[in-house]
Amino acid sequence: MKGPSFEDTWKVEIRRGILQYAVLAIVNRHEKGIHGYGIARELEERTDGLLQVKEGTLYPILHRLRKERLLNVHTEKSESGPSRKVYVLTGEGDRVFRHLTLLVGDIFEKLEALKE
Amino acid sequence: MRNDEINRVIEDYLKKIRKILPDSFETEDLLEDLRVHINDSYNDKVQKNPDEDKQSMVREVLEALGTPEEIAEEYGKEEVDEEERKSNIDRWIYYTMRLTLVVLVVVLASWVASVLTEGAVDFILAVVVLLAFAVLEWLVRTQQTKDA
Repeated sequence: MKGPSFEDTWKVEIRRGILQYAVLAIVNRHEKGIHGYGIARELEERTDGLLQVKEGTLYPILHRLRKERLLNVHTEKSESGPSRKVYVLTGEGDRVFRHLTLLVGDIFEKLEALKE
Repeated sequence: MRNDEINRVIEDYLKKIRKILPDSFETEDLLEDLRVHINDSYNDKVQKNPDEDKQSMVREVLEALGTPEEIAEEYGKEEVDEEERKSNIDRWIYYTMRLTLVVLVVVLASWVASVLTEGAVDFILAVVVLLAFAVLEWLVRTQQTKDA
């Protein structure tokens, strides 16, 4: 049996860091907070499914970002089912997001220059 | 509303994840998050396509979530990273505490030696000599652990 191709392994490696950044970026867009399913929807719609995220894998990431104190959570009562967690950026999350945004811009600019 | 068959499919899925993950508060938290997500996703789909078959809808919801193995894998990666970071911090605390202890013992021993000999042994000299011994002992020990 043939193992995963080089491109597939590479994609898995690079995806995780990008995904953490993308989650911060989406939460940043919602000042009043956004719930897990909303994050999954936006990720799919805004990136055209580029990251091919299995929605369930977002929760370990959200959990991690919370532990790192980049995200805060409050619960929201729902009429249609159990109460939901709503995520917002913390002050530290905001700082990290801005820093990473500069870094991401820098990385892509330099990579673009490398191709020429 | 959802029927029994659909609820059973969802519960089976969550049970599989619970089986793979460690029995902890974090796991329960994750399962609760997934349950809410399934609920949101399913309701969203039903609202958009009220006439579609409910069974196939719930299958779509679970497929978008990923297999229990995929979720557990991601969960494992995030936890491992965290543990590594924690053990690095622990090591730092350990070294700082050891260093403080060594300095404390050296100063105390030098003071005792200086008092007992009524100043025949110079306090500063004793500190320097004992520290030199401590450093030597540490060097020998790191060499030994490296050889082993």
